[in-house]
Amino acid sequence: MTVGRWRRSPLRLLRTPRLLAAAALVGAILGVVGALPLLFVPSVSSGALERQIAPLCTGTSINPNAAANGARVDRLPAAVASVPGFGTPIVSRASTASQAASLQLGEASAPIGIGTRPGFEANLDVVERADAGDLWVPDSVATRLAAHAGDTVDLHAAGVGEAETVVPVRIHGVFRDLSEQRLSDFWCSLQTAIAPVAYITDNFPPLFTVTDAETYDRLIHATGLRTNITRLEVPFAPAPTTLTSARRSVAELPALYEAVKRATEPTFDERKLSFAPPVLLSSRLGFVTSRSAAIRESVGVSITPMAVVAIVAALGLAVALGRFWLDRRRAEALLLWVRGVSPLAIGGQGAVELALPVVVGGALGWGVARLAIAGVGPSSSLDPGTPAAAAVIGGAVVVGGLVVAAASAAWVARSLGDVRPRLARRRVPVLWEIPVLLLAWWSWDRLRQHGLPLVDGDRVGTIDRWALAFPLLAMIGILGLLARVFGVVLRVGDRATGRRSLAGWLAARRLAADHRPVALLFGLTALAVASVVFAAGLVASADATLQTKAAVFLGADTVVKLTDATLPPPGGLAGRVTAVGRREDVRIGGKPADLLVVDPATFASGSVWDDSFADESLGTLLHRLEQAPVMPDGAEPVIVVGSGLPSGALTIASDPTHPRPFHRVGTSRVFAAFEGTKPLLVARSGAWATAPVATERLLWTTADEAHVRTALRASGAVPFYVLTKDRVIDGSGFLPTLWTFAFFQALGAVLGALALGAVLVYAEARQRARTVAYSLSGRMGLRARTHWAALVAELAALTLGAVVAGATVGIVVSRWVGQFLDAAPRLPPGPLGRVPVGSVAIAVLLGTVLVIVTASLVQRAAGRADVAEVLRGDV
Amino acid sequence: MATSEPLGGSPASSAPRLLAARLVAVDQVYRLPSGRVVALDEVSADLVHGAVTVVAGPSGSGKSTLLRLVALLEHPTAGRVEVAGTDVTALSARARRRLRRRLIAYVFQRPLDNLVEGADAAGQLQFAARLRGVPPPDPEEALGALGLAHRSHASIRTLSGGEQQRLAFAAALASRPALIVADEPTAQLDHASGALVIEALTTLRSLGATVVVSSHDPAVAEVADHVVRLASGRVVDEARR
Repeated sequence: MTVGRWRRSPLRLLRTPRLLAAAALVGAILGVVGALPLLFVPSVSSGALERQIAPLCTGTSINPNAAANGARVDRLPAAVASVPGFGTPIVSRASTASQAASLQLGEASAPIGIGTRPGFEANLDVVERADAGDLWVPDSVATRLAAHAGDTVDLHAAGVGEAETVVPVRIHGVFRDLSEQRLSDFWCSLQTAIAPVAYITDNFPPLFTVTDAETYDRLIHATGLRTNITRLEVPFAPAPTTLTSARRSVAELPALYEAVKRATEPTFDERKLSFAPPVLLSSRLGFVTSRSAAIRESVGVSITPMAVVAIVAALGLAVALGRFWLDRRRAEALLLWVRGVSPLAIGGQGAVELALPVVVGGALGWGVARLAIAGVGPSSSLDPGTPAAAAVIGGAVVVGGLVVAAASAAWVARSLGDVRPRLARRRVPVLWEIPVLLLAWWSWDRLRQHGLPLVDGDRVGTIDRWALAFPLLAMIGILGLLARVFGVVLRVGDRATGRRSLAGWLAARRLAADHRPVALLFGLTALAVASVVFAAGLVASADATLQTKAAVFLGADTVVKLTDATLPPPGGLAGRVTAVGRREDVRIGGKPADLLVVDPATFASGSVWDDSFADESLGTLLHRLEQAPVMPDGAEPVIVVGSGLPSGALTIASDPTHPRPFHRVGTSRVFAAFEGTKPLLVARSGAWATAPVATERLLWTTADEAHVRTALRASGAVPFYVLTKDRVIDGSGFLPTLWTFAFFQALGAVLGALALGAVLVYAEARQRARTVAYSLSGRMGLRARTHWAALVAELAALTLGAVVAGATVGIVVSRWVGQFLDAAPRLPPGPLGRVPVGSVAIAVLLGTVLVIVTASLVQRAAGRADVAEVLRGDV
Repeated sequence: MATSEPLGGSPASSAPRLLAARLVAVDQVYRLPSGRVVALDEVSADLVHGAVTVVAGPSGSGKSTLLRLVALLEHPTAGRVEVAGTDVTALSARARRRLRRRLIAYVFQRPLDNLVEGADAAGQLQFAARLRGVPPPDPEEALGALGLAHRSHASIRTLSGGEQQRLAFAAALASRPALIVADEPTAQLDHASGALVIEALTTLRSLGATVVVSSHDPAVAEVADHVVRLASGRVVDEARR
């Protein structure tokens, strides 16, 4: 009984579930905004490491110059094992195609190279296999020899200055040719053996066969071939996944180098016998680590102001929570106030009551931030201690929020019993939006002068913080003004709705009665939507620009050059491929230019195009190119791309005496294969029939690499090379910019949750008034359906209005900022704008669901309320 | 700090003509958007210790304002207010709050507003006493005095409006204040419940409490030792028994 109630204060919130939910939500938001930046920044450096290590074969390798160092190689594994921090070295060896070796079966023959690496079998795409055998061969070799797994073929080999030897070998298995696939990291050490330099000059390149170490030694010994590639891959143990572990690994490299140096120091006898070239130890980890650190620092600097703003906004929500608590405890707090209890003590009671759900919510928020980083962050690997540090900072923010909530309750409690009529005050509107927009203008000016990302060659791009402030300031300022206008419209708009619909009139009256909090809520919700849409739009635009730049540089998503240029495009790519001819040694009026010869009928299906490239559509340009006649002087129709085209006829370097006249039938600012530095002429295939231009024939396709390789394989065509757009631009320098806006987007989502909570609080705060009004007007004939429609109209005007306003402002501001966000300014096209349709659709959908669900819940609660209790004031 | 006639510290120690509170030429003016509203105009009154004083008058006459001044919830625009011998006119909000905690018990018009959630009837007394730092009374005795002995373990939600209001007076008394201020305590009650509350007022007087009540219920005025009638913010009549 009795005062035990005070000791049970933390549990009292269980009896007010809405307040409990609000406290937990605020705690979660505080936890998220407190922990997220601390988790995000280490995730950035880990992500940067992962992205740089994987495609670049960044592992540490030792090149002992095997051919000259001979037995010293054998001493390396033990030497490496003596250095802590490194695993057992993996030895890869190959006898490459520069030596004469071939497989023969009957009359058929195929030049080969032989290699070995532990674990190779798991990294082959096996086509067929036998139970046992000596050699794994690529399917192109098997096809050429008409051999299968289990067959025995002859290995012909001749060592330097030695007679040819023949060794019978049994084919253990057949695998899909490695040179037809994108190589995985596993093959890093043997990359030069798999795709040797000789490859591009031979008619039919030697293909890489592979076997186990024991068989390799036996074959090498039997044939007299020499191992000319030996690599020791030294894995870091554990593998560096975070900046901390990468730095530790880098710090251990000198010790490894010393151990390797000592182990391979030639003895006096060895020195006498032969020249001993030094052992090479290479690792890009140091470079990658410092670059990742730079990316981390850049992102950290950029997101700090945003993180601070988010924490301040979340503390603002804590203020609202404190007021909400006091509102729900008003009667009791008033009693305490009248009995002389200090406001601080009343606020303290609030803190005690709210502590449990806020802290639990904060822990959940930390968990949400952790999951978000693991799920959608740059990397799930975090530096040791990061989660704990994030928990400490997140906890501090949560506790700070609790203190702020208590202070807020105490502040309101100061004048709780003061029921004096308000002193007449002239309310002077504070147009805070004006200085905010002036600051935005100043920031815009800075943005125009300096741009947003400062990309300088290979250096890591950083973002000008003041320029970054522009979108935030612009959105806050514009939405502030919109919210002000919305408030004014609400005040005067209710008069116009009365005659048409009762539901509309009810909604308008309620909105008008609370026009200030409604306008505030409108602004907050719109800002949340604008932040998400802005960041999503910017990221989508930047990504589209980067992709398009790479595709324009190549001409298509994937470009193939076949070893046999006369073959038609593979049937598997039908409808997605076009054949083009390209020359870069063209001159017009003595000035350099590029020439592209296209098939107008298929060009659009295989090449890259964006409507921003030209004032006319690609179809129109191609149609004109196809239909235009050749002039009497032999001038062929061309599309001119770029500016500064000199006058004169076209000549090519190898045939300068034959000018080829042309006439312009269309122009374009950007076109596939346009490099931006010199004009590009696009002619139709067969142009200048009397003096044909020999061009490099390429296949351009919109299909991805895997699809292309499958189609090539099915058609029997052998690619000379396959280029994809993702290999054109190293985007790591642009990562800070992309990740900064990804963080912006995450905060926008948090702000969205905040707005969602605010809308629910709005609905909850007016629940009693609505219930009373519904109880009374229900007795006078108001139908439940009409009341529900009024609720929907009220919430829709607030929520969906804010979604539309926020999305519009977000899109507009992302377009403004997007024009300065150029990852590779030297490559055309310039920044492309993209509307984040997905984000907008999700915002509209969530807004609609929120409106309908909230209206239904409110209606249900109002319909279930006991009228007598309502009128007595117990509800 | 001016001091008027001395007052006993305990409500039980009654002495004739000792003043619980005094208002001297008090003005209370509010500035509203529609203009100035004079709630009290040159009001002077002596509220006697150990007596039941009823402030009567029609709505808008200034009853509640007078009570709020006496209960130290407001400070006057002009004039002087003394409570328990202390001139509180110039006190800061904090000092008034401290004095309020030490001396005043306030009873709201709506019965439930006077009780805290989660405590039974006996708990209300204990809470009120602990808040003021005085030993809690024997619940049986304290509640029995106001006819609530059988309800000591009842939840406040199960009490009738009249019982809730009597419990509010019991809790007020449990904190042993110098002054109990009640703003129209019978206004939200039916006749029977109101009668029981009025009876409670006489009980309080018999226990030596000093009570100031605002009411326009003639039945309340009948049990009063001292009636101050207000109209348009002025004292128009004053009667003592």
